[in-house]
Amino acid sequence: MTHLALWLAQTQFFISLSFMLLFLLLELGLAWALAFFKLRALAGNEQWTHAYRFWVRVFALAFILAFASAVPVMIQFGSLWPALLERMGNVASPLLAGSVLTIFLFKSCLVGAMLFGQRNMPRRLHGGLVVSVAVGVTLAAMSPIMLFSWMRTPAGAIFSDGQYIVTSWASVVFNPSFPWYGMLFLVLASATTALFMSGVSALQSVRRPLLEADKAVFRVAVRASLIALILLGVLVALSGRALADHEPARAAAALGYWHSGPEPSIALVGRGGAQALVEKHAGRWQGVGGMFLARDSSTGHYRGLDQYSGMAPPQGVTFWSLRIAILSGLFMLLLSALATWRLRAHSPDPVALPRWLRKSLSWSIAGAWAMAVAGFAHVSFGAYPYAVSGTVTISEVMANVPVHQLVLGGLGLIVVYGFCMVGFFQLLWHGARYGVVPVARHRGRA
Amino acid sequence: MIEPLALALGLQANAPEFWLPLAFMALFFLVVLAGVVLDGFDIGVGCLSVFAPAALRPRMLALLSPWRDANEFWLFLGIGLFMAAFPHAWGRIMSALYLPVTILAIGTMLRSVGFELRLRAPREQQAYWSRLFGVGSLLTALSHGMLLSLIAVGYAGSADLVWFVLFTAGCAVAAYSLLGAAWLIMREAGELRARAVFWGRRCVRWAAAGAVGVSVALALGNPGIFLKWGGSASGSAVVALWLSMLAAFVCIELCLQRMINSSHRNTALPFILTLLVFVMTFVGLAYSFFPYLVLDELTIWDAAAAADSLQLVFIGVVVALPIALAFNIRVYWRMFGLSLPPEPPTFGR
Repeated sequence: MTHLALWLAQTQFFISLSFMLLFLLLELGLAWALAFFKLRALAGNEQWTHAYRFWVRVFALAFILAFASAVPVMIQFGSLWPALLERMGNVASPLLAGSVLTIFLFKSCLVGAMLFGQRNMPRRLHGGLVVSVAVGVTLAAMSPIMLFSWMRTPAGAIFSDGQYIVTSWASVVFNPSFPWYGMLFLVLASATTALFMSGVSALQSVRRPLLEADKAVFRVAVRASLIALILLGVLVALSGRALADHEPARAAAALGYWHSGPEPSIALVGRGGAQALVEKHAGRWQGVGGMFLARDSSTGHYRGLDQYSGMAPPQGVTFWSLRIAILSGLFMLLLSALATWRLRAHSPDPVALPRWLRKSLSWSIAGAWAMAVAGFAHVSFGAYPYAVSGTVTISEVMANVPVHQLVLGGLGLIVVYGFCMVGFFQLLWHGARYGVVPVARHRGRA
Repeated sequence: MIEPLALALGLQANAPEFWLPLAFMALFFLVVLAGVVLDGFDIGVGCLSVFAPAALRPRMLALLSPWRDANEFWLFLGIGLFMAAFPHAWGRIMSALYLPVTILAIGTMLRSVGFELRLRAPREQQAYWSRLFGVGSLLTALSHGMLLSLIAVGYAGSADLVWFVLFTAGCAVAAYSLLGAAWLIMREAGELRARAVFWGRRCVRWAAAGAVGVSVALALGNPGIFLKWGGSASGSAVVALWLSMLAAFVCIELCLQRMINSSHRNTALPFILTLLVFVMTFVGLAYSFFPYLVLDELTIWDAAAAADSLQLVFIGVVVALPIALAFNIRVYWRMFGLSLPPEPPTFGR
């Protein structure tokens, strides 16, 4: 297959996956936020019911988009990488089936009742439903992450005769990188959602007077985003250290560490592509970063990108996506720390925050998503050229699809994603500005 | 029938390697059939909504509302099941069908997003979302037709077949529209019913032409299937199936002709007959293909995942199945008949 086709297929799949990821993160975070609102409301504080009423609409929108975009992802999983399931079907099929069945069960039994059945049931039961939806969303997200992490650290299965055969399900499920990717996903979901909520609240506060409930959500969201971002930073550092041994090539590309040697270094910025990127570095931080690099067991030297000739991840994307993610994370950390400090030191009323701060906070919606997409680009392109680390390459499982069809399909998908994204934000702004009216759905009659 | 099949494969009839793929194939067939039939009227009404006058469109979409939650799941379940149970056929089939499945993905996504976002949009934006829903339905119906025609000719999508593929895609739109129209006739009286009768009458012959076209391509393109149809045991069954399809199409046409002028008594009949046609087409297709997934190359046993992986999936399915059944029976309970009971006329005081 030509290089162009491979690039097109990869980009197309990445766009589909990251579109789904954005709404999945929002859905997951909001599910837990709604559970929190509901529990507080049950404890007797009525303003949280108001908060629930608005944010359940955003949850519904995110849920619809995440579910709808799962279908293109599943279809592309087969139409772009046909041989992938032939190789790892024995591992992947129970995990994928588990995810599909969990989504089916909790969507059919719980989400419909949560969204449309609130009036027909006691308050406590509805509260229980909201909590179980949050648990269900988390469970359904876990098995794809399990598969994603297993593809990076394939444990518990042996590769023979062109396909993986499972030897131990326990080690497949708890493969070395699963705890890290699982935790990163959960914390990233809470960070992006908290930032999203504080961004929407900030925008509301610029446009119209806030109710007590909106102010409460604003305060909680700002505080939660600060905590989640700090947690995310710690987790990124810890997982960077833990995963360096499992994904040495990605670690070296992330640091821009070209030549293997006894002394570690981090390239802070770089220009150009491929080798030039690291050779013509503008700033190199010598002597640090050793903890994020893998070491050669015999010589004790740090392993640089020169050890992976031809099998190294694309350096430009891997290098820059991580920096974009970290920079946008730091920027938002600064904003939310500032807002938290002002809420604490000056006035607990978020409307008393200066207008410029609230306007910049509203940009944290874009910042959170940029952070999520860039981080995801880093881990997914960082695994290149492997689909399953060390055994199955992406180019060998790729479909034999003509380039013009790939372009056509990709453009079609991008247009549809654009429509959906625009529609989502239109409805969000409209709801945030003018409030939402409940939607009814009755069984069997219309 | 089971025993000789197992012996031919060199397996015991009660070995999981033998019966698990068979069970999954049966389940997959049921899910696809349910998807085509139950999601079918949904797709059909969506296709018709593009051609309907703007005043009727909101009512058509509102009629679909109670079933959406269940309807949009069949494709998802079908894909998930096929992917999990038959990983060795999955990629091969999907990549051979890249363009139609991408259209299917786009159509499905537009449909579910268009419908649900329309429900939550302010009134002035609703027309936009219902238009997207209609376009998504058309794309989905077209892609189903393309898939069917490519499956019938053994995934060999060459330039000579473009017209056949396009013809079948058009016929699939007609067939879904027929199903949707027949469903509307049953659900709602008044102007919508009168229009649906006209739509149905325009579609019925194209749907029949599509059924014939696919069958002919299936028989001429694959000698194995032609032989299978002509076999002494199955020959009479095939002829009976053909005759009943013909009878069903003729009855639908007659029903629709009478619907406007003389009779409103059997409004459910066209829908039930159209359902029968769809079921017969799919049973025929499944019978022709069994036990192959890729004709003469890949049987369901070649394509299945390893037995212990399948067993895990099977346990999940066994847990999920009762809940799924209960949910679907609950949702689809009031699917037949009028949507709302007719109101008595208001007499002058």
